[in-house]
Amino acid sequence: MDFKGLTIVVGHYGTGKTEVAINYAKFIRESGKDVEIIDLDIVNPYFRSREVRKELFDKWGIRVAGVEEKYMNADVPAISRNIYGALYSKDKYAVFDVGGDDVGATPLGQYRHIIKDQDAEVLFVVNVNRPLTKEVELVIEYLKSIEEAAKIKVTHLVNNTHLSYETTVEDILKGQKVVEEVSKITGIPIKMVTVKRELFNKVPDLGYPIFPIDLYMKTPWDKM
Amino acid sequence: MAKVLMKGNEALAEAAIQAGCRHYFGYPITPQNEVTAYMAKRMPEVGGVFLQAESEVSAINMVYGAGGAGARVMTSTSSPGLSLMQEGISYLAGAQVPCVIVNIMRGGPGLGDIQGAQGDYFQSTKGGGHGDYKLIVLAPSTIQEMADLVQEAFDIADEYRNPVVILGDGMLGQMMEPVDFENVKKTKRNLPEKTWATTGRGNREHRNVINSLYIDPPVLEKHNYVLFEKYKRAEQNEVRYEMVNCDDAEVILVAYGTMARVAKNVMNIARREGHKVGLIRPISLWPFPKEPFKKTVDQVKGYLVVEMSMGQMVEDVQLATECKKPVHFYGRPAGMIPEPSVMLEKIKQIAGGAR
Repeated sequence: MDFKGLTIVVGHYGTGKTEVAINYAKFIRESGKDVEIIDLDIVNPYFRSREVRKELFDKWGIRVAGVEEKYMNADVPAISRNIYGALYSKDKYAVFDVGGDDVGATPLGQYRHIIKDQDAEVLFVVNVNRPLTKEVELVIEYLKSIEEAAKIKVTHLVNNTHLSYETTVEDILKGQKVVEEVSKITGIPIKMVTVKRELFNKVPDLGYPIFPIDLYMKTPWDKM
Repeated sequence: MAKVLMKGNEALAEAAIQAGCRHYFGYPITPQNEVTAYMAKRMPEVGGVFLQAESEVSAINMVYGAGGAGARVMTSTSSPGLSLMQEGISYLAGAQVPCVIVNIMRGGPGLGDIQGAQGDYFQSTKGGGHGDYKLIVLAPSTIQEMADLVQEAFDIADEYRNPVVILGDGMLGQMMEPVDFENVKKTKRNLPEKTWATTGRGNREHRNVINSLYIDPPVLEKHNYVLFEKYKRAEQNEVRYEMVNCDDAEVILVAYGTMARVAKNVMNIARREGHKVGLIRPISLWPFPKEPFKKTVDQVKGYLVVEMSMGQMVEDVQLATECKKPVHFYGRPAGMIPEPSVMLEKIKQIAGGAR
């Protein structure tokens, strides 16, 4: 699977953008590139990529740029100036982990002049088990509202349909049907189907790359 | 509808709508903002009212108004916001107005932080407002249970004409889990007609008035007794709890909400290591479940209460056990999660006879 210098991960709130962004950055890193995650999530108070900053750096050498650590839990929608560094860097790869919905995608708009000159991929993550994106029309509605808020065009769709620890292959297939229909209507190609690692070998050939996901956003009892 | 994936906060809001709530008043505060945001989106779709008040003080008084008119009404907030609502809550209890109040707790006191914590137990169960009153307080520990208990909370509120609090914490509000709205558990209740509601006089003999002012002391005293008759009924009928592995337990962990999920895992680890450990999870924090302690107090060496606070529920456990056995405590405030390794160490000490 190919990747670009800049990957921007957007989608409806709670679809799993952060997990996709982290795993995608790891995938880029494994191919020997220097990669940074840009945590642009100003919507969520918990479960953000900045919280696993240390783990990602120690294990994979992946940096997370975002709000300075001392302001990490401040309840303010602040964005780090370090983001410009990642955007202008010629030899570094960057994965943008953007907040959910149009509201979360709004901060992206300010970088559109820089992004448009770059070799960028915009991934729209879909989970049809989220009630507000359970159907084709609803997914397209969210896609359009995010494109408008972020002033950016989605280049690829990602089927990340899951049901947390209860995910089955049926969930993934159900999501695939919706995502394929969205692709047909919008003309936006499907990049990949993301599945948690335990299900990786159980998913049938869907005609698209199957991308295994390891989970990083965990509850305190999951960490035990 | 099959299972869907939702944040705790979203599930609370959707469950309220499905329970017939068509009036929501609130003011944003982290970590419960998704309730407000979800209501803003969904209420217009179902023909309901969403209103962002200018403060929590207004929000709770709007609840008073809508509840007084007989509507199913809800507000939601987090710790500092609930403090602001206390006057209104006392008035709601005094005027016997049914409503559901959600508190997704964060670290305190004061502005504190935005991490999930359990420091508002006293405030909710012992009365943060003035006067002799009680709130029925329900503490879910999964997203499914959040949905189940919201339905139940509206019914309890209507049956007893009393505010009901759903007490969760930021972790429960923010985390995502599968939830099934088709199978929301519900107790069958014969809910009384709201003949007291201020819906217009019509052909009624008298005016309905929603009020908590009883200027004549003997009249107020009588009103207080009426309220306490109700609370007595709630103590008999609304106690909820879960007991796990308590039959042979020598040490019993006591925890609610998020903390109970950590405790359950610690219990399983301790069991695998050969320790006889059980768990009591109060679901109704008021009325507090005394039965599981009466049932186990003779057999255990001691209890270990774990809370994401400096120790609040621990006092109710001491009362419920009548101090017949040692009640130990371990907790951390500020949204820090009590360490499973420390819990395990304490379990071993209690099993070894520590007092």
